[in-house]
Amino acid sequence: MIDFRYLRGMDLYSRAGRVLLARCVAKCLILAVAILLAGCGSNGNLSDENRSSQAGSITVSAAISLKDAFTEIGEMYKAKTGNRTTVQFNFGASGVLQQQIENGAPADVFASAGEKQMDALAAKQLIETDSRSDFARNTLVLIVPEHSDVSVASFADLALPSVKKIAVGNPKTVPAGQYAAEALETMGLAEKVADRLVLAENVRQVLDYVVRGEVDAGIVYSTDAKQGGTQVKVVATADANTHAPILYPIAAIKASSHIKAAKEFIDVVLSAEGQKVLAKYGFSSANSPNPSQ
Amino acid sequence: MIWDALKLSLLVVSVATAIVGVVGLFFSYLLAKTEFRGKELLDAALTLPLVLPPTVTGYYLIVLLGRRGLLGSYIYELTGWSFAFTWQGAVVAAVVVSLPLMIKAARASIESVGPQYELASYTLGKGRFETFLRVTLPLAKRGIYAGLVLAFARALGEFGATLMIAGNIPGKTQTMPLAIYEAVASGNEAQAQVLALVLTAVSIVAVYLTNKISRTQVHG
Amino acid sequence: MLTIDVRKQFFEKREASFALELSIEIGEGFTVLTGPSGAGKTTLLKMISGIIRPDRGRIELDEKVFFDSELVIDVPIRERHVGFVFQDYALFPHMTATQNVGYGIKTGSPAEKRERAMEMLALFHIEHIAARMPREMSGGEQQRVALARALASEPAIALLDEPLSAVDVETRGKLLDEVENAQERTGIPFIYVTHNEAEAARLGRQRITMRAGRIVEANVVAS
Repeated sequence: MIDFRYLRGMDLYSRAGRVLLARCVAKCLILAVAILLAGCGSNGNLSDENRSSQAGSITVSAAISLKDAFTEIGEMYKAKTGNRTTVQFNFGASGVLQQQIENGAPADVFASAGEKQMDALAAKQLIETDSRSDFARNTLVLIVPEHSDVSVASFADLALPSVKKIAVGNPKTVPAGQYAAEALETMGLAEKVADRLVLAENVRQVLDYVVRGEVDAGIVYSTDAKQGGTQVKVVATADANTHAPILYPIAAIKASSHIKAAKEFIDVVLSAEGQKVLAKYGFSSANSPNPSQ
Repeated sequence: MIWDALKLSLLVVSVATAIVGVVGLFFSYLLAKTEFRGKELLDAALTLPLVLPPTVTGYYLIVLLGRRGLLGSYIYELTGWSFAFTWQGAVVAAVVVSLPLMIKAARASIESVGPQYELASYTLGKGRFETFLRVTLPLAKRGIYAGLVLAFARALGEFGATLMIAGNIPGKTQTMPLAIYEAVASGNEAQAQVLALVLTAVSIVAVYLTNKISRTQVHG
Repeated sequence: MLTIDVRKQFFEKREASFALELSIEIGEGFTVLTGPSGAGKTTLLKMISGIIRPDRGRIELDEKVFFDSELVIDVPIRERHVGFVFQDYALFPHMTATQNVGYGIKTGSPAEKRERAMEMLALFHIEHIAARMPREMSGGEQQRVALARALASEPAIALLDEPLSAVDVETRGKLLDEVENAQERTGIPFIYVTHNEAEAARLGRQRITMRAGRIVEANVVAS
């Protein structure tokens, strides 16, 4: 039996003291774990909605080049659900988003700027294959800063010694970078410009580098160049045959708890109105072989 | 990729630590042993990168040293060269974030060196600089070394500011922390593991050294 | 000859502020500076050496002006060549006895400096501790090293601030002899501060007494 008279000073070195300490620590740990678990179970204000068929919010992971178009489509979708479902967007480089989903990130829809990333998810059986669809097409353009004293008029000009820095997306994670690398390779410029490339983490960062004049030129999608407005000048468009078709696939994620809502979002994207929004921002239709925009 | 990143990290960190050593000692001495108007302001300015989020520091570095930056534009005009996307830019980022650590440790150490030793040195005919080298520095050695090791470790792990001013270009500016980021982002688990292990090992050594240095005997 | 004519205002927290004000000429030989604690003796020494700057006045040693508030001259410590033996000796903790003593020697190769340092140590009979660090020395040994160090730099005048206060009574007698000898050998003026009457009596042919920042009694031989 523990004689509590001797424990008043909490003598840690006595056996009784240690037992008491162990009990305190155990109680604290149980309390902490309980708090943690309580937080995990519910999902804030959606705890009710989890069980209902109508979701309160869905998460769409989309390539960053889709940012402006999708934000508008998100509003359209919300209106269509009678303002009951909002869209949480997660924009980034398609490769990074793919990684996140592979690692269990809670996305309901994935829209990529390249087939490669979607194929990777399909191979791991992470998407609802019957929901997969190509919804848009893009073109690759060469842009320069608005006030640049380096004259670049074509892709071939990139090989000129006066061009010191060229921004492209990181081919490992950014589809725009992959396409750019492909195009440069096809045009026979890859080796000549290799040591002048500045790799960006996503295509919008490429745009940013050009806007800020940190680089002499950059390769982005025509839709991004449009967003850049007057701060950048488009000097050339890459021929469609210099790279794989820039097709954007979209699909619902199998692990989603809002598959129905996810598919409804995809429907909106594929609908006539959705396609009109995309066209507004410079995307061409996925079905047309020769994009006119 | 791993080798490139390791070599680059070692290059950037050794240059940065060397710069931090010299600049840090100068400011530590200034703050510890002299009085002048605006001294506390200088101290605050030098400490700022310690509390500022690295990306904010990175932003300010771009504003200052980017091709169209306040200073960078002049440099670019004169030389056609810019700090952006170069390993030198990475060095600047590393120096800015690790300097405060060095100064904090070194200043405290220098301040704890009794003024009587320096006064004795002056009465024996030595000037400020010689006194600093032969008396103050040896007596403040421990704190200064600790500061350097901390600065080294901080520089080695610098990510945010480096990414912004120097970019993430393999072979040119991709230091180890950036390489890990890319390895994870592109799904290369094996590489990420190796890089993380190497960095962890280096950090452990740094911590061990710092503790060891702090524990050695003090001279009177 | 040392000429001092200074004034300095002090703001003490405990007592009312007091002003140090004195005018004196100190000649060759041994001069003892006595007075109660807080009289300003150490302050005076610090002003002579340049550690403290007076508010007003003039300090001159053998026609070399150290300080003059009118002419705005304040020669830095290192150029005054005033040897100082601090109350706590202030021996460099990271240097041996030889290195401490040799620190202030200005001319000669490192080997020559070391030799002269050793000679100095021998003069004070402490050559056997040449390689020891200050923390390995007794109080008496430290005091001798401090004195040797100050004199090795060949100063024009030597100031000793209560050098024996930390030494035990038995050693004190012997050390006093050595201090006197040192002064005779080097021939430079020594100003020796003490608040110990016995010491003062024993040393003081020339004597200055201070109280509350002023000289109340002076018995000096001006030369």
